[in-house]
Amino acid sequence: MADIVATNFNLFYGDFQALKDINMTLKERQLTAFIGPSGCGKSTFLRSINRMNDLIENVKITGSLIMGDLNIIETNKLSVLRKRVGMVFQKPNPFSMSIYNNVAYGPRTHGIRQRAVLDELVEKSLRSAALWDELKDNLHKSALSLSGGQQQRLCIARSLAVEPDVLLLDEPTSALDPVSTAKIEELLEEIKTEHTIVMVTHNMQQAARISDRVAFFLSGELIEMGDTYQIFSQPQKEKTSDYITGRFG
Amino acid sequence: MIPIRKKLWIGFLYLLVILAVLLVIGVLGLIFFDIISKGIQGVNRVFIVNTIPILWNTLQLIFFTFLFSVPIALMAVLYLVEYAKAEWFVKLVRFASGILAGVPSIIYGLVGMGLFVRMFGLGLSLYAGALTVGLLILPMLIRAFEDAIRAVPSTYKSAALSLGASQLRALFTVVLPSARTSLLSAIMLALGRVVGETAALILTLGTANALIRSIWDSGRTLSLNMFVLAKESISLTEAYASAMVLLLMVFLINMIANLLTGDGRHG
Ligand SMILES: Nc1ncnc2c1ncn2[C@@H]1O[C@H](COP(=O)(O)OP(=O)(O)OP(=O)(O)O)[C@@H](O)[C@H]1O
Ligand SMILES: [Mg+2]
Repeated sequence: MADIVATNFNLFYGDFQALKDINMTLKERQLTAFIGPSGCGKSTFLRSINRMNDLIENVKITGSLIMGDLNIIETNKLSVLRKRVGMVFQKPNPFSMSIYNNVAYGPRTHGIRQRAVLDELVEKSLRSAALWDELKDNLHKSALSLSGGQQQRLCIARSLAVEPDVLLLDEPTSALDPVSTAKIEELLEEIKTEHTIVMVTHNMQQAARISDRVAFFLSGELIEMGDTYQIFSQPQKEKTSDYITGRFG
Repeated sequence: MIPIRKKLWIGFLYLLVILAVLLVIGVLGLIFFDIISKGIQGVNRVFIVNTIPILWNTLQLIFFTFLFSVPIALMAVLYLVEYAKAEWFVKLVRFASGILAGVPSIIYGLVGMGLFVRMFGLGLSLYAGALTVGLLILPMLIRAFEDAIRAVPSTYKSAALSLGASQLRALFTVVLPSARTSLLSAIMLALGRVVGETAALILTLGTANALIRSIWDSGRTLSLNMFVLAKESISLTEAYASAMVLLLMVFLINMIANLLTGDGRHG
């Protein structure tokens, strides 16, 4: 495992510059929260870390983004990168297959075929996502029959099953009720001992509750980054304090 | 409160809708009743002995037609949806298949005869017939497959890619399986065209009264049989009995296909 380091990172959608000269370090085994008003580039930066921006046409990138020995921008082994950097999306998106096959999808993609190994990975991942006890007797039910909160935890389990170092989450609880949200926050705090976690959130309380560090973005720039307590109690920049006290955004 | 005039108007529209539904059900019922009541009289030993090879011919035509057209349609659509970069090209293909879907089947028959039967020297055969009908249903398959695949949420694909799957693996293990029900209904719709086709087949498959034993053989399908029987006034009751067999066959194929795709519980 290693820190993720961005240096002079710029991203353009065609002529539009969505990220401007980002310099930041995402520390390993910590939960970093990205905050900032809509359209400031949080998702764009998140998607850069596992190269999901490759799907969008006319994206141009300059600068560097490195994780240990892996040059994220330049690698052509996307499958290897994405095995190390998993992603959970805003809307729960389980496949229309059984719960078991959802979780086993990633490991199978990376060539694991033995039933015993898959069984073990599925159980371990579902346990990490606090779903095992609820679902262990129904592993062959369709994943689409689960509740929204369960679906999102299933998506987290699915990502964990490939044993990534990093987990990226883009507003993972914004479509969920408070109880499901609490469960996800709890499980994130548990898994961060073994994973580097980066989460986008619009919920200041959430960021304050579970993150170790906070990065505040505004119009494509990283305005301020620091320990969560420091950002919320004594922000260095006026824009940061304006935002977290709700004066705009 | 809804004003009385609006209420009357809504009531009137409602009545119209019910009438339309009754009309559709009525016409369908009439067709079924007509075919089955007349068809059942034509069923006897001779009919059964005559019909078994024709039924088998029909099934073979269906099989080979789909064997040619479904993979091509699927690959064309995957290319259009996933790989084609130029918007104008996608539009052009869509426009062309829209036009081609409306071309009368006799024209496909002529082209099939000129191309497959004569030029490629396949003769009047199952080969030429299946290729021609395959070509005929290609545009409608392409359109319906495209709709089916575009209806799959893009988030499924993103999820698969984010787990390290290649584009191709995401397509074949996630996107296509998610679209299977609509892909199948597209095929079932095309099935109607295949079993009902006569004009294009007369010119390519021929109407030999024989069992098709190889792809090079000519032979008649149920629809062709009905056409010949009715046209030459050989036996109208036998034509009706053939129609009944055709209806039952289409019904059965639909049922089996639905059972096979299931309701998506076990992926
Ligand atoms: N595919 C794209 N093509 C062009 N511009 C884009 C694209 N995706 C995002 N943008 C633009 O880039 C900027 C950053 O978008 P991004 O989605 O990263 O914001 P965000 O901080 O995640 O916002 P939100 O909080 O609403 O999710 C926005 O101005 C957006 O309009
Ligand atoms: Mg976003």
